Amino acid sequence: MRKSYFVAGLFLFAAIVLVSALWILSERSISEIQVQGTGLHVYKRHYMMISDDHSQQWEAIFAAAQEAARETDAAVEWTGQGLAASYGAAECMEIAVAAKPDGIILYQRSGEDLTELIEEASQRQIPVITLLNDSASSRRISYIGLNSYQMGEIYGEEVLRVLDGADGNVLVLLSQSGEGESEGLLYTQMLRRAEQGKAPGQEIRFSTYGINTASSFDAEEDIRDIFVSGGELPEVMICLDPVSTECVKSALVDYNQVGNLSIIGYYASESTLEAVEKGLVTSTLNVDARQIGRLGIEALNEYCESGHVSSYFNVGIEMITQENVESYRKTYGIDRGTGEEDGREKEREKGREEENEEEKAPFAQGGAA
Amino acid sequence: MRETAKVGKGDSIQTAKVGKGDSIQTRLIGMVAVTLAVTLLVNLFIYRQISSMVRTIDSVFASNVTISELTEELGLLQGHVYEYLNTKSSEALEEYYRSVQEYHALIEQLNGKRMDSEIKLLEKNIRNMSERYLEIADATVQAKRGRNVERYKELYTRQEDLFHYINMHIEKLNSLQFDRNSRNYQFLLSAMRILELLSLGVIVALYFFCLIFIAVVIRTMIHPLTILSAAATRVADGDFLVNIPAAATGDEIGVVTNTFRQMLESIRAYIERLRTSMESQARMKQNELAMEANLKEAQLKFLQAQINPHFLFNSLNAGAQLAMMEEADGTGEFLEKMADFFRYTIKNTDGSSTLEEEIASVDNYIYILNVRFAGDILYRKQISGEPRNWRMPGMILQPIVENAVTHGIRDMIDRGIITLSVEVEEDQVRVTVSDNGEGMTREQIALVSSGDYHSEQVNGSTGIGLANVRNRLMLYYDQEDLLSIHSDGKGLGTEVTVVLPRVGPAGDAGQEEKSAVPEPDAGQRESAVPEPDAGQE
Repeated sequence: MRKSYFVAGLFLFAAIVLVSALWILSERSISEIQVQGTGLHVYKRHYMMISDDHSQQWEAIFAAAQEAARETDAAVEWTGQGLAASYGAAECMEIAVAAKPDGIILYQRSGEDLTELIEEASQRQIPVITLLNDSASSRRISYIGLNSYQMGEIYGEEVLRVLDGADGNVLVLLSQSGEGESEGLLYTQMLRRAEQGKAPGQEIRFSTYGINTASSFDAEEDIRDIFVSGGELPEVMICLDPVSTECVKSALVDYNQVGNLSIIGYYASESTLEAVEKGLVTSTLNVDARQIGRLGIEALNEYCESGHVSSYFNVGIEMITQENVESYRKTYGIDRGTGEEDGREKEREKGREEENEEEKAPFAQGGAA
Repeated sequence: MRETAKVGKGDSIQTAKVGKGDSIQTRLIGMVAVTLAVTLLVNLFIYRQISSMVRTIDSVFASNVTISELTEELGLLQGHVYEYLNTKSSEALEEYYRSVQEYHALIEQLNGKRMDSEIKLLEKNIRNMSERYLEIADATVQAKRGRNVERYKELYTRQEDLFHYINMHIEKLNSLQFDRNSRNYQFLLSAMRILELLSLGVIVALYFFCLIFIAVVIRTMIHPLTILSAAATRVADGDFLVNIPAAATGDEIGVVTNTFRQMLESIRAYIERLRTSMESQARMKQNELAMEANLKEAQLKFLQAQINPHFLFNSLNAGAQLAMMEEADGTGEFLEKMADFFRYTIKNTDGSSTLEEEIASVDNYIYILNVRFAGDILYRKQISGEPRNWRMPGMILQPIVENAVTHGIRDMIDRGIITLSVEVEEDQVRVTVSDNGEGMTREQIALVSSGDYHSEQVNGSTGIGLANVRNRLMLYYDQEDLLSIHSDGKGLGTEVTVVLPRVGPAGDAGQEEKSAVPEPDAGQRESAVPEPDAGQE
């Protein structure tokens, strides 16, 4: 009798446990279904970032902006992303103005003029902050950018270091539309610095090459032209934007010119960092993307809260060379080969290297002969 | 027995008193109620799960409906603006205003808050863009009405751009939602499967729960009944000693069990009483028979001794009358006492007499002896209390006195003294016959007390021995040790004490006559029976 009660009790207990487990599972599975607008956090502000450049640098800037926004109870969107059509900065600006966010962070390519749209945004009480390329005549509330003078200084010093007293040709890749003041200032300062710092009797010849950075695929073509034109390649090539850096790097490998010329790049993407480590790229000027993103959000927050904000923020820059790349990684916590994109790029690069080695060997032999 | 149920002919049988909460009916209803309640709860639980699932599905797919309406209405609105700009017809304008209203109502449903969700932020953007679009559309229409051609053309271009952007965004929203919904569909599917399992599990668990619960309840209810039926079978087979444990429950079965136990106890007690009473009856019967036998024996012995006492008694009376006529008073008195003595012995055939008569009989006997033996015996009588109506068996004292004379003082050189002492106490009468004769040894007393001693018949005695007296006392009073013998030793006399207890109502019956007879002086008195010739000492 007692035994049968025990068995029955045990059975009931097991049934209750089973049913409870199923219930919890069921509740959990229902909660996995995303239902609109239930229990979502409501942010204090909603910002929009506009950039038709989707390079790693901008992804990093957006990521930093998102991080900063989350910390200050704000949401930030990258306007134009995920739409069926691809829009330029102007269209995105129109969209943003119509969508009426609490603030806009705008990147316009050099040469673009969105003054009118900034004006309209300002009329609709939307504060606009420009990044990297300013629109000084507009009613943007602040500009976050690089100091061209400082950049010119750093590039000039790097040219001197790379040439190390030897004579050499230096090719600077400027944006075709980039007769703008910032690039001009940069270039002038670079020349001045090189002139001042060169060794007695050393001859450094600077020349520029215009590449079309405004449209998507022209830069790559323009850069390849340098290599295939058959003209003499310079000793040093300077890139002033991330895309041209990537293009020059891959062209160097593809046309078997590794070691023949030094490249001073721009921006420390993962692939560029690896290239610096391998000596493919001599050095690269890094703009602190994280700082740009953060500053954008912070400036907007400040403006929304107090009604005014400093009209200019300077972003830190530094030259990354083979010597300090390791410490740079440590400082910013960038691990080698993290991220899917970087991984893919690495594979691509590896493939290229393999191809090159096959090509390189006869060439080296020929060289020796 | 204490409370045996007595149901008379006309009595109706009342419902057994059962605690309200304990009755089988309540328990059965309770059991069914609990089972039903659990079933209901389980159903409610499943219903809740299903309805929550339906709500979830509803909220997931309801959003898509709004989106398609939004696109459709926006297209219509744009079309109406175009038509109005094209034709400037009032119908188009009317349509436009209606469209604006409807579209406005639609975008009102979109989120306007800065929510932490891509879809929600997108909705906010679409809503704001749509509002801007409506502003521009309104301005376009106003410009058209004001015939400001350049302005309305410019505005229309902007409106078109915005229309395009909004559509793009709605498309994105749609695709995001589609994406989410396809993801949700997988979750829904698995959730449905789990829900199915859950429902099945709950129902199976419920089934077993109810089964076990009902089994336990019924088993608890039926168990005492099983015990009771087993006990009843044994009782039916005649085993009244079966032991039934007391019922723990207070329901009808418990009542029946307890009542059955009581009934069994009553039957056992009744059987016991019956047995005792039968035993006592048998003993009484036996006593009666033995007493009768003893009496018969006494009478027989007496009759053997006194051949034709009637004749003797009549002759003695005739002698007494003759003595009177001849004026021989002493002889007359002697004969009269003789006649009295024998009359008593003859009359006393039913075995029952009074103490007074017994004493008188002893008096007569001593008188006769003194006449016979020329006044050798000094007879002392001490009576305290009123012995007159004290009922007792007849022929008790005379044999004792005779015994004292025969064995005590007959062969004495000195004068023999017989003392009869009667003490009437509340519940008993103590009669002591003592003599100053040769006394008895301890062994002799023990022998006589055991009843095994039978003295040889002495000529001239009534022949009724002490053993006979003892037996009759025992049978009459149903009590032993009423007769005791005491002697300090040889030559120091013997004292025989008879205790006569009051015999219940029979004794009292005699007392009733008490008032009719004048009460003599209470107190001790000593009298000597007149002796014919021997003078008083």
